[in-house]
Amino acid sequence: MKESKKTTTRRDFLKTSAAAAGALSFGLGFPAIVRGKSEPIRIGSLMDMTGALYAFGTWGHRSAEAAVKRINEQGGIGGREVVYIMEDSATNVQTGLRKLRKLLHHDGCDFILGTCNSGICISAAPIVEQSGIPFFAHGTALSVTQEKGNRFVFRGINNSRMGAIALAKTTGAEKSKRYYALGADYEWGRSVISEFRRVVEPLGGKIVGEEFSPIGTEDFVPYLNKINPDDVDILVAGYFTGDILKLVNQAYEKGLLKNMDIIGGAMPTGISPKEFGPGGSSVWFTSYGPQYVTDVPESMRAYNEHFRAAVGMDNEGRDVKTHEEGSPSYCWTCWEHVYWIKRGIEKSGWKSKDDVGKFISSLEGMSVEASDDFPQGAKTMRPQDHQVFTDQRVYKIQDMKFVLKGVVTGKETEYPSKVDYTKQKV
Amino acid sequence: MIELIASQVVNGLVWGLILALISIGLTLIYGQLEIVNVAHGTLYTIGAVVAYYCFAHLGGWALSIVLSPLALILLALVIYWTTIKYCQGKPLIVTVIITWGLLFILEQTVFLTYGGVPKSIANPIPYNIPFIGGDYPIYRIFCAVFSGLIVIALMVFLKRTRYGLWIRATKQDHETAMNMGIPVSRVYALVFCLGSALAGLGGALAAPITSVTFNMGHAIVIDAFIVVIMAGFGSIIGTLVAALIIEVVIGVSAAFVNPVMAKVIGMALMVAVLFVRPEGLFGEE
Amino acid sequence: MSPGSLSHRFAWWPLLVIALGLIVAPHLLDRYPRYVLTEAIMWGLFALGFDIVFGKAGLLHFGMSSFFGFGAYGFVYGVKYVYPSIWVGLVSGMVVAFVFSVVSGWIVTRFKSHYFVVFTIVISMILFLLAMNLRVVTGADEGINIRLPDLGILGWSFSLRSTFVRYYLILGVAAAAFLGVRRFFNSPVGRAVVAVRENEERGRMIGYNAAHLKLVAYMLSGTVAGLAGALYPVLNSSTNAELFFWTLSAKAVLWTVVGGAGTLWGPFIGSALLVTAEDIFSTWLVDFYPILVGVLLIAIIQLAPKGILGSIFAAISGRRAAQEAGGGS
Repeated sequence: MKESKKTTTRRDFLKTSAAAAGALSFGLGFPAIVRGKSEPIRIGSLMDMTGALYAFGTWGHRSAEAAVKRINEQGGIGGREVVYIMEDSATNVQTGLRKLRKLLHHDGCDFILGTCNSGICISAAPIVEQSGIPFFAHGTALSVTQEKGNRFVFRGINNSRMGAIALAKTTGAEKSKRYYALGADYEWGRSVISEFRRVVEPLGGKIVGEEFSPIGTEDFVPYLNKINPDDVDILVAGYFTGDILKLVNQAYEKGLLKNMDIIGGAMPTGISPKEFGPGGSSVWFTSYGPQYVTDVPESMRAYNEHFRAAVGMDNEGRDVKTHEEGSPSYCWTCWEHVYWIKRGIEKSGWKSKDDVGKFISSLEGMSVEASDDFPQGAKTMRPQDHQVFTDQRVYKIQDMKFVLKGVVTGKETEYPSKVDYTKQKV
Repeated sequence: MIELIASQVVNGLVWGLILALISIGLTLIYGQLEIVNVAHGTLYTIGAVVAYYCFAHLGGWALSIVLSPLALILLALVIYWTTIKYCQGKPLIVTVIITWGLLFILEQTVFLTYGGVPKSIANPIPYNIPFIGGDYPIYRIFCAVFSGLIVIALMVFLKRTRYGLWIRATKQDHETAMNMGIPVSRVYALVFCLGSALAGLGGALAAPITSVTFNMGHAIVIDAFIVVIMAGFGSIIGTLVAALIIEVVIGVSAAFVNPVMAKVIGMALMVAVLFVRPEGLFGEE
Repeated sequence: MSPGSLSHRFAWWPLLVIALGLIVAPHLLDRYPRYVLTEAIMWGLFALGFDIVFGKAGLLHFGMSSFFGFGAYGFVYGVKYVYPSIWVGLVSGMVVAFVFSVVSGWIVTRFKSHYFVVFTIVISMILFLLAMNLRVVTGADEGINIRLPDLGILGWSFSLRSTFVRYYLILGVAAAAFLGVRRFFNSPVGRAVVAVRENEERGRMIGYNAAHLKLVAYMLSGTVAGLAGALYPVLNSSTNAELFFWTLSAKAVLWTVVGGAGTLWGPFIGSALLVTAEDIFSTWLVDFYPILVGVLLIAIIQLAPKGILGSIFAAISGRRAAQEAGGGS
């Protein structure tokens, strides 16, 4: 197996000079990829290794790489070796699209694993469609598998709408509850809040106020000042990792959390629950994967343990070596995406890029059982929008740990699809 | 409504003082060395990172009030003698590009050593005082008072000490200063260190409020640039006033309009100020 | 003699060689290098917009991303709502950017030096915040995806799914714009722009209206950058509010200054070099490449303060001057 570029280069820092030489020869053209009969299956991986979503990218990369390693150790797919090639999107749309092209055209990848950045996933959709290459995204904005996706885009992880449904069910949205919504002014932050509104208002919940703060906000107090703690039971927060940490700390210091809870959009990847301090015990998160192995039902626990061992994550969700907080709620997706590809190839008899139509229709509607290949649990790929439906967990921080407060099944989070990709031609 | 406005004003003054600390560092360096230091935000980040290490490994955040500026002074000396020294006197755009290169280097070094995930520092003064329109954290008031004292100390230093005199003389006419026997290049190094130390101290003070991330300097350095220009380059008192005005305006407008519009109003105010006084609030012609 | 005017003294044949090279290049390159070249030409055109306002007119514009964003959205809206044709899209992108450059130029060209810098930064930041906020119009960071119509030329029709068609379209547009800009700076008005930058007092005495000349350069710059923006959806079939973000303006500055400000060729050299370097560094050294990019920037600007082309031109003109002086004595 070809090792990831990251590990090779780390070991071999001297190659810098070779890189400079490469830069000079760049204009002369890369050698074309010569393809024989038994050539390997190439999986390209576009990960956010630097920039704002670094924690997601690093763990996504480790998981996908580990899955490919395991497949090769077990003899590849249909006897063919799998090659894994990773490129850094830098959490930036322009860089991400260029790297996507590199994976598609320079590395000649047959399949692409997507990034956690919904903006890149959405901009990538028309490109993978033009190239005729299936794309497995793990950005969680709803529209990736609705109006902005197409028949080449798949998503093996839950999305913001399903997260909102799970949170509303677990925190007991009902007539008496009053909500205040505060989100980051970008698409994901807005979609968390609009989906939450869509869920709680029919149940009789009342949203008394709604604000979106500009990107790069350091001080939330001017916006928190507008919240009257006597009028609000729950603060709905459409913020990610670092921002949710800031928001919780500042709301706590302002004394807002005495009688108020915060519902955070997504599990804070890479951040230990300790970082939230005393304010953390008022915060709810939705998580797409189990934080601790003990959160997994015993019948499935072995699969999860196996997955964690392969990726280098301990049973608490931390890195085995550095003991830094990992990404148990997301990174399983990249592992499973590799196995979706494997299942699709096996079922459709995919041989080369020409068989992409067969490959895509074989995945549409496919159901998988919990196993070492799918450690997060059983799930089904909905044919119309290529969205997976699977269990979600809701956590609250207690005593500096994430405590499981509820499991919402994939069935409960289903919603009607507005699109039907199966009608699109390949 | 009055309560809300009052609390917005107070918070604007508090946050404005922290912002002033960072902006004054920027304006000092520009005023003296004629260098637009794009990497200033990264120095702020490094100050915050040092504060985190003080909190997590050295026994307490409070140490960072001394250690952050100290670390930044050492770093600034290295930066000054390796790069900044060579871009003095070059066109503005060259200084921008060189400090840009510095930004890439410093930020990635922070990323590789400190790590990419945010970490928080427990509130050093975990008490509130009741205030109109809700509680207010005492720590923020401490930050404001402390920043205010630093600014006063800085002005006394510039007005009353020998080094302060040298700095002012060099700023007015560095050739005459050199002829008078003032060690000009030492004065430049001193000012660069001083400006960097202020950024580091700002980072240390802000860290318990904002938590510590490797790229936390991005947003604040832009705010700082806006403040510096609104004030007129090089003016310390002007920078302080501009920082307070801009934060209070953003805070008070946030009481009436949505946060994005409040930010736009803050920036539009700056444009309006420059329209009336192109040299800035306290700038010289 | 400024390095910019020196470039015009070049004979016609280097231009022909470059043109032929660029026409043949895609057939010698594999698909990905071809794509990188296409992208570099688009970014080069964008940076050319900056070179006009900075290198030629002496105004440090730090908000070029706004023009690019307006151009990209102008294209998408033109194709979607006016008429589904690439040409309509390109014209509409340019018109939108032009209108914005007239409005903003009228305000900001009154201000000098760093006030101009800050105005342009602040206006572009306000536009970015609004672009993120008005998601109904812009789609915020999710942007708008678009199905490109075929390219019609004199009754022929070409599909933009072909990377060759995309390459030649972008090359053709960039070349036309480049030649137009070059011609402009050889015209009396263009020369006056440079004259006023070099010595405003003298220019005024000769009778030039400095304010008008600056505004003209500003509008030309905005329109060129907008045209480059209109090429973004041609290349990527999508547009995105992130295009308004200040980091893109910063890249225009980097590319131009590294390539050589005021040379008009420099922006293309700078963008090709830095895009390629970043691309290769980031694949080889995921962890360390920003450090390398930083070192590269500092090294280039220390070794060649006028940028790569600027320094080469300066060296050539220095040698010529020496030769002429030697011949005369």
